[in-house]
Amino acid sequence: MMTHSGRLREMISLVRGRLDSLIREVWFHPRLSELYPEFLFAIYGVTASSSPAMRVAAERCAGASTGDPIAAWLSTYYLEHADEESGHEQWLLDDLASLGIPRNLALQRLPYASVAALVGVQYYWMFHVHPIAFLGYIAVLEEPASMEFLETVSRRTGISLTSMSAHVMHARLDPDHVAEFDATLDALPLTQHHQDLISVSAIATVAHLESVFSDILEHFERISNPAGAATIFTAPRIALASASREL
Amino acid sequence: MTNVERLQQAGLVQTHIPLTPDEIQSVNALSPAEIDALISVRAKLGDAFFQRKVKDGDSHRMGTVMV
Repeated sequence: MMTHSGRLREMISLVRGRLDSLIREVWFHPRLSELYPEFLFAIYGVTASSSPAMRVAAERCAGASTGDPIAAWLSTYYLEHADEESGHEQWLLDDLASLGIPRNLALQRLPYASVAALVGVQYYWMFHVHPIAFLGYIAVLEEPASMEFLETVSRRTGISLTSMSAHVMHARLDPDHVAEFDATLDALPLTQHHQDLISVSAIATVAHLESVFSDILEHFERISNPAGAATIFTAPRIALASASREL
Repeated sequence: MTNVERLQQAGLVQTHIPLTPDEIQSVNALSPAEIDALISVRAKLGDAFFQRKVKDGDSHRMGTVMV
């Protein structure tokens, strides 16, 4: 019999083909060295919301009925992970600063509406259905790039690993988180309702992430059109250690 | 109506690019709520373009985002 995590991961792999293509289109973009700040900014909007969202999810668990056998466990899980993830968005601001994008410039810019939608739907389920939905969100997002891949990107594009510190840190930390997540999910007494909600949350997360990555590519294309550049960074052209190179 | 047929009817499975037997089994094992969600978000399945393998690695190596 398939485990909860096995079934969830199989379902996610079934639906994320387009998302993977869009992620690949970003990472293998011929002008990634120029696109990279936009990529970091988009992810910043997601990462900055993670710890606060988990704290709210924990609060929602605490307010659940005493007859909910999972609520207490979930509250503890979310609070522990909120503490672990706290401040990780600062790594992204550090990476942007290393590329010449001042922190205040990133903080002043409005996050993508697609990022707000990605995160916002989780608040809907926390408040109006059950905070267990957030596990579906985590299952999709907490999948780090490997160090091998990041080093390949750095060699190919000239983007220093120093400017990828957020990705590097998660490459080192998150593989353990994924295994831990799966093990804890498998140990939970999930009802069909819980399983459906986690899956639906994961499906929605994949769909919204497609919008986020589409937006990254679309925003970058407007760089070539000054009239359309209002929403991209207006810092001076970023100078990297070496020019972008073809594979 | 099977889950695959529901998704075909919704235009989310390309009838000219069939799912593999494993994919058919996986899709038909999904719950009604999961199928509803797939249709709701218009998640396209079985499209060769979206499922092409990454030349320089795979999706696990690229990662997704970071929580």
